[in-house]
Amino acid sequence: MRNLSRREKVVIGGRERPSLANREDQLERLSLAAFWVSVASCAFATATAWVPLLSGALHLPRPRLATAPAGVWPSSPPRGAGTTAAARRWSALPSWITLGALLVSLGARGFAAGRPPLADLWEFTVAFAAAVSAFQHFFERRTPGTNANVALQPLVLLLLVAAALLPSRIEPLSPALRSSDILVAHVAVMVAAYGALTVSFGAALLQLLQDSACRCSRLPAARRFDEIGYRAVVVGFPLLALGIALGAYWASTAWGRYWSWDPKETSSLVTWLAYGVYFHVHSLRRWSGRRSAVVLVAAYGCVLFSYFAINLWVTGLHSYAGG
Amino acid sequence: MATMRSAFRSPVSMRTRFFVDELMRVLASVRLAAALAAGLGLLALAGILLPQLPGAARSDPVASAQWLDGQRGALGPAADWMYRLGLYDVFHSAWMAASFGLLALSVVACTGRRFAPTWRNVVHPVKAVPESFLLSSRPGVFRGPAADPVALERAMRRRHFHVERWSANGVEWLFADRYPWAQLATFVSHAAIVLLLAGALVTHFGAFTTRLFVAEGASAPVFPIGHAPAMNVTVASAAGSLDAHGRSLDARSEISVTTNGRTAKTCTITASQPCTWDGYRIRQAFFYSAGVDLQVRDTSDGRILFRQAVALTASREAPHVVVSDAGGRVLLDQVVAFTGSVDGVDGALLAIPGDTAPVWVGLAHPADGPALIVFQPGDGSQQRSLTVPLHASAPAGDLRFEFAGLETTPAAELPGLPAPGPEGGIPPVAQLAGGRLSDGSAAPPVLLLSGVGNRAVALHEGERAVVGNLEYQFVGQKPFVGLEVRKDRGEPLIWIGSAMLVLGLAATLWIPRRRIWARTDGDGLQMAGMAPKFADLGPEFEALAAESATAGPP
Repeated sequence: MRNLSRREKVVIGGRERPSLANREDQLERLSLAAFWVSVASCAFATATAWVPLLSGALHLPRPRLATAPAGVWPSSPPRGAGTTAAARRWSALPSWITLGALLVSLGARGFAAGRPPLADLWEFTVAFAAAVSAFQHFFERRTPGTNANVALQPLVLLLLVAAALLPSRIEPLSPALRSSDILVAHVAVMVAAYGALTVSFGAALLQLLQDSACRCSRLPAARRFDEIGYRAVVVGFPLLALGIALGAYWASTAWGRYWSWDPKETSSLVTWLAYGVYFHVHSLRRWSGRRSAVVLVAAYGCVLFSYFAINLWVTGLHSYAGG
Repeated sequence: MATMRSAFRSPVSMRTRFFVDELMRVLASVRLAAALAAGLGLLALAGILLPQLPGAARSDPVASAQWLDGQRGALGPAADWMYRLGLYDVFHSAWMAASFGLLALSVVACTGRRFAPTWRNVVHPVKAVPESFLLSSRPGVFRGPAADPVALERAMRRRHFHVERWSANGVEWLFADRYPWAQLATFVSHAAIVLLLAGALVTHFGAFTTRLFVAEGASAPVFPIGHAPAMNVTVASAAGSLDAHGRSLDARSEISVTTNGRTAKTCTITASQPCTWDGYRIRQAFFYSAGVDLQVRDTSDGRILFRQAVALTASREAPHVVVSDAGGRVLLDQVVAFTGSVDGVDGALLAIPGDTAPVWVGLAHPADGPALIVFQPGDGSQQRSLTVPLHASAPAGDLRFEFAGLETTPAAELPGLPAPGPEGGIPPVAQLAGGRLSDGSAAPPVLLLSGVGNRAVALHEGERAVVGNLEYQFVGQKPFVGLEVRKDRGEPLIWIGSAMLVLGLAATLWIPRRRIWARTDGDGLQMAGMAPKFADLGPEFEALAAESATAGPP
């Protein structure tokens, strides 16, 4: 009668089961190994992103923002502006390895558990880090030469360190979390939204840095980071709305009502409102630039609160998702 | 006439109009929208961080007063101020309702003011721009070599632009518009917010919810007796499993919905799979395994006095006692149900097989942990008294008493259960022992009935025991199912609003709408355009110029 997980079925027995258990254990071990590979490569990527900036060992050419003749539409800076090809390759390779290792880790975890790997805080945090890493590469392609990985790689590393501190054992799912495609879609969309919004946070930090007295000459001007931050919110904001809507739909099925003012869903609403505030103030002349970057940082504070504080310290209907 | 009337408006109507215009301007302002969103966010944050009045206490003044007393203990007089300000019930406070109302007004005002100009911009865009617009040297104007206007038009159409081309004074002009309707999507997402608030209002005032607690094989009415149509939910079977902490691992029930005596629908429900009939959604809120089917019969005339499935929703402690003789033979292995209290110690008289005198067994809670008190009244050497700590044993004469475990058993007081003897004594209590004992071993369920005589009655499934002229039978264990039946007319509005919000936002922010004006003559090609914030028109202009220049000058 009970919807047993694959791990439990193994315990029940049968001639072929021991090999299945062995395979699942191997997959779980592979997942953890890939996770540690991602931690190591992310630490290396962070170092390769930061060392040239801090040491000044590499004499990088300043970004050339206007390469076209005067009067002609100033096109995007050429790819690689602001950095050498070697430095870019050294920085990009480990971050690609990080993304690949995280995807392997999640994939192996999913096969080991027999369900999509988005059920507990460890899986969600690893998926979150993978989403940040994926969006980092996406926005690097869309707005090349910005070196946003200077802020984003440490953020991915912090997420991975947080995941390393969480229990990673695969546990059976609570009944409400089983066999619901809507729930999987809800969590996946929220992960994607948080990933995009993390990019906007990283960009806002760099924007504030470049707008301050201690601006880094090796990074583009603050406006470039304003652009990345805005573009990332443009991606993340509708995803966040979709994630909340999918969560409400699932809640109406599993909890009987679409909205219960549960701390998690309320904090998601607060986050959505905070990014709504950002969109509105960004359109105001006096608030664009530095002030809207501050709003973006505060809004990301809501993401972190919603993600970590609610899961770890506040009891609510989402408590089973906690670590 | 109309002109004269408007020309001689009274100062009062002019003031009113001025006031309405100002109000609309303020309501439609971006600053107010941002402030409202920030205010709502802060209120909601307060609702998360501050303790909130439990839902059950909201409509119960006594319960809410008790809850507030608890808060006074933590915050002192500040708790009363916070209560008056609605900070202990943020989500149902006047502040929250007013903020949402103001937000709806703001959205309506904003839409009202912006819709007409945006609609005009979409339907009747400015196609012809002055030459100075394209010939100026301001940034944003692209200049390239002379282009073939036909090739340029084709290139634009390939990029999904709607293109119009005309010539005047030897100059070819082009106006290209791509996805102009996407500008209207912002109204869809803003209207969605109003729709969501309307849906929430309908839910608040119009949703029907009832909870049913139904035993397996039983049915319960959804509406009060006399309601038309009558609707009943019958639980044909219920099954589930609990973990070691009593938390539900899984639950599944076969239910049927009957209306006016006819079966309307039969379905299987789980925690995440409700049954829907005629707009009513029936979901399994919880599964409860500790129910017993109990029957009491009068042995003198055979009449059945009591037959009921009883949910044991409370809990009681019960010691697991093992009594063995000097040879180690187990004489009694039982979870003991208490029948009374002596000097504040709950206990019961036990009859030990092979031993003529009954033994009184009680449970004490000294500082060093629970202890079993064993006392056998008698004279001289026959009197036994000893204290046995948990998981220990001690000899008493020829017997050895072991305190094997302390079970927390599901229990319920049954004031309506027939009992022999005068009324007004201790109300009968049913306890269900067994299942899984504290040592991890599984045991068959045992129903312990106290308050039906001097001694507790222990019954296995199907067993009967006669006390006085009453026969008690433990017919079997019955699971209970908690069902929630709900009909919410606000939900369709919520789903339509959610879809509109997401689609509106996606269309506003993701659809690459562009508007381009171009002129080309023998001297060259000039292009300028409009696009959403940070959209880079440069590469698009360069590509268009490259594709149209290949055909040579016109």
